[in-house]
Amino acid sequence: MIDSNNPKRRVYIFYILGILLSATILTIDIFSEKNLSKYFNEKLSFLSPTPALNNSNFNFSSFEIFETKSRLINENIRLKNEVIELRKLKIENEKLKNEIVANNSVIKEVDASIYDIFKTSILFKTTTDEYIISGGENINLKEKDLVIDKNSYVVGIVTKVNQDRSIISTILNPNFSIEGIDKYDNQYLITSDSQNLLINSLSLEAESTDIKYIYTDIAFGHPGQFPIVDLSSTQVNIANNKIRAEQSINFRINNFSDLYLIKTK
Amino acid sequence: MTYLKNFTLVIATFFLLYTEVRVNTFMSGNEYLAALPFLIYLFYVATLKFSRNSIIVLILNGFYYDLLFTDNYLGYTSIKFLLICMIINFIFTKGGSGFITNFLLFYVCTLLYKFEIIFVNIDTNLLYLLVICFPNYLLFKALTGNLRRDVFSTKI
Repeated sequence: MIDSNNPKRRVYIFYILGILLSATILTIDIFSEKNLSKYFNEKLSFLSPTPALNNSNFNFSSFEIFETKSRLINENIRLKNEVIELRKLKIENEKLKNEIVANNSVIKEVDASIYDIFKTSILFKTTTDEYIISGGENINLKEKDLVIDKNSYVVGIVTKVNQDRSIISTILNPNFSIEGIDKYDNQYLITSDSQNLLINSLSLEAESTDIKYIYTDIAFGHPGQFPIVDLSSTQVNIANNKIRAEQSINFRINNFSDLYLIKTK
Repeated sequence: MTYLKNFTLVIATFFLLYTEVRVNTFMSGNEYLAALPFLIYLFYVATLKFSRNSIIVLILNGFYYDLLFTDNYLGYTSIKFLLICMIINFIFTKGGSGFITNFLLFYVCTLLYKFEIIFVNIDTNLLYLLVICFPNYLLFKALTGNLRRDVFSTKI
């Protein structure tokens, strides 16, 4: 039997009080529809700085320090700085060339007159296997907007939007699910177990295994039709008025992945 | 002085949490590798520094995590941190203190810390959490070994 004046017991009581305090704040946040967390999130965003979306522009102002010094140093050093500048420009040029190649393949597939395409970058991975990306309300992003890879396949959806960052759920997330349709207007629910995409039909208009692509659709709250999976080389099973298929995920994500946000103009 | 000490501790643990999220984002390609410095701190608090001074630090860290790194409701992670500390401390006081026992306790702590992702694919996740918690436990042992060393009382 633990003595009521036992100091450890008192610490437990303080912990329970801490839990109650947190639970109270949680309740307020639930009833305020996350306005409380949104308010603090905006106020405290300086604690987790976010890079600008288009941060690849070369900035000549970084050489100002050299310019001020150039008043004191001789011509030889100034030329040296110019060489350094040119070398940096060369590296930047190579980077931009690679980016143009990657962007071109996306622009080819996506109608830029209908959709806004934003290149984004991974900032953090959460404990629930979701990713925080740059770009949020500042680019009018909404929940259910799509994240595509450089081949224009859907690899994730936006699940939460903050001021300058958003949380996305990717196909690598075991809780990922997205609805889609095929060319026969059959509707599907696509889920992930982080290794494979599991495709299950929700409603069938036509029973056929010749499906090929399953797309997102505006009917499900997404910006438009973008391919989620290509089933042309996957075995599709029909049984009990249901279509099922399973496809392994080849997509991998890291800090340097080329990801694009798609939203309607 | 106490306020300054607590403020420094809060900032330092914010940094731990930020580092954990940042490093794990970089290592997201490999699921068998994860750095969990904040979990190490949590385990340290639960087993060696269990006191009411840690409560506010854990609450603020939970808020920091909820606000900036998840879409959870504010307060969810604070409750999780406090519950983990209480449960681990309770088991620690009831159980032994050998290397294996402590490692298993650290594993339980890791399971509680990552419980959101366990149930999705329980077999695989239990295995990979066991793998990732081993180096982190060794790091915990190394750090606590150094922290406990009292240089003033050591006989020269």
